[in-house]
This record gives sequence, structure tokens and C-alpha cells, in this order.
Amino acid sequence: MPSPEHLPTMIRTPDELLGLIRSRARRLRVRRRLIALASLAVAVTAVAITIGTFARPGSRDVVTHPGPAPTSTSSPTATTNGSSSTEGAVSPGFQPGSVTFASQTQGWVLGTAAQCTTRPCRSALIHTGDGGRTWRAVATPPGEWNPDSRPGITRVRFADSRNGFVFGPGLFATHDGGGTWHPVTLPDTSARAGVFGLETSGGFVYAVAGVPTTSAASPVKERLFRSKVGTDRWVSVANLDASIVAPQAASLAVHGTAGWLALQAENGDNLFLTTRDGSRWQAAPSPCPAQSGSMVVSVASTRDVVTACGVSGGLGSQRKVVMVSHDGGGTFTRSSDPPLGGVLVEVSTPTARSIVVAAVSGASFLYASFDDGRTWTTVSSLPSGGQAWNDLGFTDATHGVVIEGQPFPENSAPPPTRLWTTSDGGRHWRAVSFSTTTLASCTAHELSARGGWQGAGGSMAGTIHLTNTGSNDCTLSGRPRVELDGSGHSLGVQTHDGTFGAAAPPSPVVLAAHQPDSAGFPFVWSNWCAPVPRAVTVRLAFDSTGDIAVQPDGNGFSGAPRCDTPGAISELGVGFVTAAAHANSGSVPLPPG
Amino acid sequence: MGDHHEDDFEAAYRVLLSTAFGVAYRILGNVTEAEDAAAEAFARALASWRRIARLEYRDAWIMRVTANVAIDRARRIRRTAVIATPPASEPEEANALRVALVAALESLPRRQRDAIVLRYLVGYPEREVAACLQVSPNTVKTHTRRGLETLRRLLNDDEEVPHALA
Repeated sequence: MPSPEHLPTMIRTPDELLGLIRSRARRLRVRRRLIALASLAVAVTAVAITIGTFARPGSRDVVTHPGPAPTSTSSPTATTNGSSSTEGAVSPGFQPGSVTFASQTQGWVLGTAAQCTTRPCRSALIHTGDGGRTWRAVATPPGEWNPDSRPGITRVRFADSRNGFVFGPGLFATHDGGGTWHPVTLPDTSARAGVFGLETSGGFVYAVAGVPTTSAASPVKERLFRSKVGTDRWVSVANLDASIVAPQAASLAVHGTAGWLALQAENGDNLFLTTRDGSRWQAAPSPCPAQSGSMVVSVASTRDVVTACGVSGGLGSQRKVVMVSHDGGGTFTRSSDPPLGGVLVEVSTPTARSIVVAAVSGASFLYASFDDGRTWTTVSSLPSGGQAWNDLGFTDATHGVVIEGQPFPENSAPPPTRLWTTSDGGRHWRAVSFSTTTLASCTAHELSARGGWQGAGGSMAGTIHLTNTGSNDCTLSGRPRVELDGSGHSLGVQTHDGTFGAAAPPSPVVLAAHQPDSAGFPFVWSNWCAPVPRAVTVRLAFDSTGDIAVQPDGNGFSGAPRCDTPGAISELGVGFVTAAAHANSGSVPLPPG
Repeated sequence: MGDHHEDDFEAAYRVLLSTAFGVAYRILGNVTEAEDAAAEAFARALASWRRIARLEYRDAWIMRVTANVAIDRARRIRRTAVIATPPASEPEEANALRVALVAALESLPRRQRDAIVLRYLVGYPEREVAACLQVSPNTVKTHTRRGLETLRRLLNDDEEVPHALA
């Protein structure tokens, strides 16, 4: 060790450095909470199971390779709701920070619109409706990317395609797929309460919040809240003792109404709470060995629970103990230890016999076991300088996600962050590119259309089916512009975009070349008080490349809707373009109400 | 964090700062970077001070983290080629040796690197290194011997390694 006289003089004074240290320490405390809680993507598994209707075997919506995929930048061609300037194309510099999949196809990624070097960092939310093949930006999230203070947001979770949350430490909810957001205040807490974990399963959403107190010794107490999805009616289900002040690790896993919450108190104790019904949480013996540091929990079913415990280590290595339960957490058995490299960050268990552990040090590691923890394989070792892992989770036994890094400015530009996906249960991982290398938008000369309608409640409702007749795959998004013609002239029917609801538009739909009826959209015509035309042609356009005329059987549509309100305008409601599952359903999708 | 803990941390910080700075400077060869690495290590300690303060080898923990942060930072700097220009205060030859040493340290198995850093860069006796790493002194001897052998082989110089680490 060089003696002090051989060292150069420090530039900053000890007091100046101490100020910097205190500032960094505050950020670290918040970030540790977020990192520890990020394993809650586990609950995505539960959600996927609960919302099984999204995963239709055989449907084109079921994606078998949700990894890096061409990203569409095609803009919507018709009205979208919510703020608009950021909707559509994914920003080329988008930095993913949190990911959630509510089904095999419906996923969202929250991040920053660009690599952020100075605050404030503009947040951005992107969505896929095809399992990650294509992504598009949705309405601007309600807060900046900021883990330090409300209303900053750093995490995203969706219970289903409409009900979602952005949080950490702020909390906002949407009930229209991200089109609009509103702030949520938890009961009996001040606006300063910070939400650091949120998961959803079994029709309920659970939030772990740090609630400020007036005690200098215990400035924050952790509380667990619950709300029925879609209601915003939150109740406190666990009021944790003051000994759990500012936990450095908290991990929540839920499946159906069962749940497991692991917390590391600042005094070093590990606390483990469980529930069978979601409303009564009880302390249980910690599965981790004594003197464990961090503890994270994951669940594959109500019976198959895994906890991982960071025991001891230093200089980038740590002994990690994995405890496995196949009776819902009643008894745990220690598996063999994962490799030492890296400090434990997250764990996920996609099946009863497979486990993935994420660890970080000078490199970022993913370790996996496919035999109930008997043997371990290093499935990823990234020399990224120790970027954190976030949101490690699986939507089913094979499809998983994890975010590498955090888009958060410190003293210098953070390294780029990446979304990684696996489609083989965690054996191989691929980075997703959100680049603008995309499929082109379909043009009119590449499309053919067919359709039909029928009377429904005095209206004429129908579906237009679209086929890509070109030689290359292409995409469509948003609503088409639609006009009704009679005898070669416009009937003057006014289009009305709200008929089919005001949800955010789905992601661009990929129309594979020569795949019949690979997409479609619904429409409904009402209140026609003029003479019934002999034949009606539906004329639609997606962009400036031209119109497509739809005339079934060469004679156009026959009939007209009932005249319900004489003197009032005739309206034509048009829905968003969706994938083939809807177009081929054979039914006529009617508007709500 | 209460005032008592803040005071406790600040007292430890003022005692250990120069040592931590020295460890980081030996690895990084740059005053600003070394200050920053030491600050990062102290920030990590402060963020968990209730736990760290109770550790029997609290000071060693801070030094290990300092060294780890500095090595990691040196790797990033080297990757961006900033280190290709030696600090003005450092002879070019010394800079080259330091860069090579850090690169060689990175290549060591984790436990060997831990032992080398604590034994030679921080200057702890073997017994303290053993306690810190939760291994026996004989294991420390083995790790350091093998680590030094590897460093010598990588640096291709029997003489410079002990000199660089001294």
C-alpha cells in the first residue's frame, strides 16, 4: 500500500466528497428497493395463466418467438386518443427500463424516450400486441423517469390489455390500455408515499409502498395494499412493523389469490409473509439461512415456490442459496448453490423444475437450472460493467423477459439498456432491437379487401377482411378512413371513431404476404333517413397510396340502417385494424353498449 | 437514517478516506477517478450503514468495495481508450505497468483477485485477509501464491509484479 506521502493531493475536500457520497447513498437506497422489487415480474406468469384467453393455440396472435423482431414505425392513419405526439413510431433512442406481459401477445415496456444524461428524463411507453414482433409507442406516460421522487415512474405492470399501472415511486393507473392515466393515492397515506413494488394476479393488484412516518429512527414503514383490478379501490392488507424500516430488499410473488412477500429489514432480518386468500397476510419462517442478505421469491404455481438468498461474499462474488418448495411454501428444500459470480438480484421460476437466477457484479450473469436446482448453467454472462437486471419473469414455461440496466443518469451517461427475451425456458437469450428497421406500411395496391354486413338493432354492422397480395410482409395500424358510396357518389355518412371504444390503438398488425384475411376491422352504420341506395360500396384508405373499394359479389352491400332520428346525421363507426383472429372469427363484432 | 448513524459513518469516513483514495489511485492512476471511486464505495457503505457498521471487518469491506469499483472503472476507461493517455503526473512506463496490472488482475479467478487486492493493494496482513474472505490463512496463502504466479506469467516479468504491488 503506498504511503500517503506518495499519493497526489486530492482535488476535492473531504467535505465536498461527503456531500457527493450522501447524495449517491440516497439514490442507492431507492434503487436497491427498485432492483429488489423488480423480480416481481414473476407475477406476469400468474397473469398469463389467469388471462388465458389471450393465448389462443393456433391463433396467429400466439407468438412463438417473441425475441428481437422487426419494429414497425408505421404511424396510425386515423384518430388515436390520448396525447399524440409520441404515439406511433418507437423513438430510435428508446431505452427500456421495465417490461410486463399480460399475455403471450400483449406486452408493454416503460423506458426513456432517449438515452438520458441529465434530468428530467422523458419517459416513454411502448406496446406490442404480437408477442414482441412489432412495437409502437403509446400515449406519453404521466411522469418523468425518476426513481427518486414522486411523481417519477420507473416500472410498468398490466393486469390485462386495458388495466395497467406505472409506478416507482409515483403511482398512476390506466383503464383504457394506456390511452389515459390518472394518479392513485393509497388510503391513509400522504402523497409522499412511494410505491416500490406492484403485481397483479387473480383479478387483484397488490402494491408495496413505503409510507413516511414522523419517526426519525423509522422514517419509512412498508405497507401492502390491494385493489380489485379496474376499480381503484385500495385497501391496506398488511401494515408492516417499524422494524422493517427502509428495506433494502422486498420481493412479491402472487399466483391466483395466493402470495408471498419477502423483505430484508435494515437490521439484517429476513421477513417472509404469505397469504392464501390475498387479504390476510401472515408471517412465516424465512426459508433463507441465518445471516442472509437479500432474499427474493418467485412462484410457478400455488405449490411451486422458490426463494433465493444472498448469503455472503465480496468483490463481486456471493454465495447464493436457493430454496425450493413444492407445497406452497410449507416446507423448503435447499437446492445446490448457483455459481458464485455476481450479487443476487432476482429469481424466477417458469416451471416447477426450472429456476433462473440473475446476479450482478463487474459482469451481469444469468444462471439457470432445469432439474429442480440440482445443477446450474451460466446461460448469460455479459461484460457490461455490472448493469442491473430488472423484471426477470416468464409469461409461460418457455417465454421470458429481462431488462439489462437502468436508464437513469448519475454522474455520466448510463450505458444503453436492453430488453432480453427467451423462447426456450431461459436456455438462450436474445436482445430485442427497437430499431427503426421495420416492415413497410401496406399500400393500397398491395391490399385486397372483402366483407359483409348484417342488420343489428336497426344498424348495419360488418367486418372488412384484408389480405396482403404483395410479395412482402407489411403492416397496418390504426383505423382506416372509410366512406360509403352509392351509385358512385359519397353518401355523406359521417364517420365516428368513438363507436368502438376509446382504447389506445393496438400495435401495428403484420399482414404476411398472400395470407388470406390476415387482418380486418369492424364497422357499424346507423340512422339512414334518405332513400335506400341500390348498392353501397365501402371505400377505405390507409394512407395516401390510394383507396380500396369493397363490393361483395360485385354488387356492393345491400340495404341500409333504420332511420332512428329523422333530421340527425347518419353515422359510420369504424374500429381499429386487428389481427386475423378477429377478422376470421366469422362473427360481426358489435360496438359496446 | 438517524443522526447517530450519520455521525458514526462520518467518523469512519474521515479515518478511511485517505486509504480508500490510495487504493483507488493505485488502480486508476488518476486523482479525479480515484476520488470518484472512493466516493462510490463510501456511498454504498452509507446506503447500508446500519448493516455495514456492525460488520466485524467493516473497514475491509469498504476497501474491498473501493478496489472493486476502481477495477471496474479502469476497465471501462480502458474500453473507451481514455487511459491511452497517461495522467500528466504519471510516467508513461508506470502507466503502462498499471494498466497491464489491472488487466491481469481482472483475469484472475475471483478469490485470487480478492486475496491479492486485500493483501497487496490495501496492505492487510494475511490473517485479516482470511477473516475478511471467510477462509483460512493457509487458503489466503494459496490464493495469493497462485495469483502472483498468474500475474507474473501474464506480465511476463518476475521483477515488476512485486514492485507494482508493493
